[in-house]
Formats: sequence, structure tokens, C-alpha cells
Amino acid sequence: MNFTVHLTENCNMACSYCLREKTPRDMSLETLYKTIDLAYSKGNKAGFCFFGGEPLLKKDLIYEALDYCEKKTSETGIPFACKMTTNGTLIDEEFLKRAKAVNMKIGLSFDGKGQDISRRFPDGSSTAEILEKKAKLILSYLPNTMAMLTLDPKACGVLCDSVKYLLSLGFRDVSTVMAYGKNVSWTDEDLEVYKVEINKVADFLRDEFKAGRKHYVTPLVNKIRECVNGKNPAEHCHLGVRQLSVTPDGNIYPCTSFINDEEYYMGNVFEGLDKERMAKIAAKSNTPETCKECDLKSRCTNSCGCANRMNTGSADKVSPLQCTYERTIIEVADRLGDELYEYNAKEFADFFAVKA
Amino acid sequence: MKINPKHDYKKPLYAVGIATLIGATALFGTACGPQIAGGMDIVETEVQLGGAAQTAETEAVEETEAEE
Repeated sequence: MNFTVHLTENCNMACSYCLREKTPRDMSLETLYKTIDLAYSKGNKAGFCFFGGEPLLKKDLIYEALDYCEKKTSETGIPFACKMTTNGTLIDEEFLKRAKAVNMKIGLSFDGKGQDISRRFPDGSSTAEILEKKAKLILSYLPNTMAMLTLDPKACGVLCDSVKYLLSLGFRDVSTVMAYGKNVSWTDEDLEVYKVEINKVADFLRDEFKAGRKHYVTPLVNKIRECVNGKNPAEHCHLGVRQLSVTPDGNIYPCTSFINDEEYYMGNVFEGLDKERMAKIAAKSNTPETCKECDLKSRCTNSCGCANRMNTGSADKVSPLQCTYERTIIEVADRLGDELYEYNAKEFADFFAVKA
Repeated sequence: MKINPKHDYKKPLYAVGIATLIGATALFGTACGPQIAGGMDIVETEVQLGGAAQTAETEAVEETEAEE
């Protein structure tokens, strides 16, 4: 099974939209080993996403985890896969060599041209220049690294420029998501700017596609792909039955947004998962009442417990912001999809259709 | 901004056309959300990058060869 492993609650940055409370709490080696043991004990493969806070503050633990996983795989025959979400500021060549050796996929939190709007060091100093250098270094070792752009409303106006910039650095995979929660405030005007910008991104991707350059930029590409392949976005997230979060203390929750919420506690790595609690939590992951009669319900992330909880405080209630956002991107994605399909149906199918 | 269920949505051209091209039989996914069952166990999937709403990975990056 898969775990998001919160190696620490500490971080060396102070991003304005971050919802995570920073503490000096780190995971112990014993808890880490127990987490790995539990992952190997269920299913045919073990997966770990190293997370935090900032996971590279605990490089030592990551190396220990990789050594232990290699030993477990050798003993059990069960393969493991690992990923890491990082702010990138602490990455170095030694780490990248090890990451490359285990085929680690990295998600680099990098807001492109909006980096210094929201993502600064605690003393307020800039991170943009450092991130550009680190991005190039990471890509030189791991060309499949994903750039993860979190869009602050204040950075809406540079979304398209940010996407172009990240692609120009060499990223082949750019994920853009909205910043949610109590530390950001979206207005109708911001969403109008967003609509203009995401349309510009779609135009850019269309022109690039026609020029023979195909880029993976979400949410547009995955909205088209999901539609083509008959996939419901809800399949990516079903509370408590896919990838679970493990805190530094070894407690288990459905996802990062539910950490330390007693109602969503699922057990711990020492005593195991509580099946009764798991079933109750999974039952909360349903199509919200407001969405049941909507034609788009199987194309939008209305059942994402994390996004819902960040926006409404409730895992099964969608917010007006989320609804407006989803309607916008589905409309833009469908426009892009139609244009590309009309341009060259076979190329479109080759890129968007997942082969059986 | 408001919650505004859509009732006049038409399948996009690419969705209709691609069905003919690749013989896809399921479009637009399931009609309702994920099936809930008591005592549901863990579903095995590929490990995802963590981070709340940042689970928007395009799986095809793993499945296809990156273009040069």
C-alpha cells in the first residue's frame, strides 16, 4: 500500500498560502521503519511519498527509508516506488544521485513567475533565483520531475507566463492547482483573470501541439484525457482507501488535510489500521448533494475530500469557488480538446487516449 | 462565484469522435461517485505525489515515453 510519509512538521520556507502548522516535530527511525513495514504488509507493492513540512530537512531519514525498502524488497520480492514533494531549496547532487538510482519521481513546488509572490523564506527573502537554479539541477538528473504550481489569487495574472517559463526550463510535466483555504481569498474578479489566463494557456498548448511539441499541463490535459478514457476524477481520490498520510508520530489519516483531526483518525503504524474507522471515513466520500443533478458531476473533483474540507470545512460539501473553477477548466479543456481533435484526430488519440 | 449545476452540457466533439476512433465504450466515467462499501480495504494504485489538491498528476507521464 501507499503512504504519504510526513517526515517532519518543520519547513525552511514560509509560503503565504500554506495551511500546515510548523513545529520541530520529526519522525523517529522506529516510526519510519514501522510505516514501511505496514506498507509492505498489504498488497503487492509498497509506495511512499516523502513529505513534510519540507522532507529534505530530514535527508537522513530518506536515505534510511530507501536502504530499508531495498532490504525489504530483497527479502519479500515486493517492489517499492517512491516520490517526494519538495520546495527544492535544499536539494543537492548527492541526493539526486540516490534519487535517480531508485527512480524517485520528484514534485517540485515552484510557482514560476509567481514564486516570490507567495513562496519566500521566513525572513521574507526571495526564492525565485534559487529555485530556477535548483530546477535546472534537478531536471539534469531527473527529467520527469513535475513542476507543481500552486496558484495564489495574487499570481493569477502571470499564470500563462509561469507555465511557459516552467516549460522553457525543461519541465515536461506542469501541474497547476489553486491555493485553497483560510490563507487565501479568491474574488470574482480573480476568477475572471484566471479564466483569461487559462484560456491563454490552452491557446499556447494548442499552438505547441501543432508545432509538434506536446506538453503535460494539468488540469487541462488530464481533463481531456479523463473524458477520452472514461475516467471519473473521483477515482483519483477516495477518502481513506488509497494513499494515506502518516504523521511524524505514526498516526494515520486519509490525507494531509485531515491530519490531527480525531474524526478522521484511522489508526497508527504501531497497532495497525482500524477497519471500522476506515469504513466510516470511506463512506463520507460521496458526490455532494449540490452536485448530484449536475451534468458535469463525473468530470469534476466534487468528491475530493481534501479540497472540500479546505474550502468548506466539510469533506462532502463543495464550495462555490471549487464549482466555478471546475466549470471553467472543463469548458476550456473541452475547447482545447475539440481544436486539437479537429486539427489531427490521430495525433490527438495518440496523445490523449490511454492504450489498453 | 456560486454553485451552479449544469443541465445543458453536450458531449464535446472530441469525446464523440474519439469513441469511433478507438472504440472506447465508456465515456464520462461512472454516473455516480465511487462505490462505498462497508469494511472497504485499501485500493492499490500507483503512489501519488502528496499535497492535498496537488494530486493532479497526469499518469501518462509514467506510461508513455517522454518526447525529446
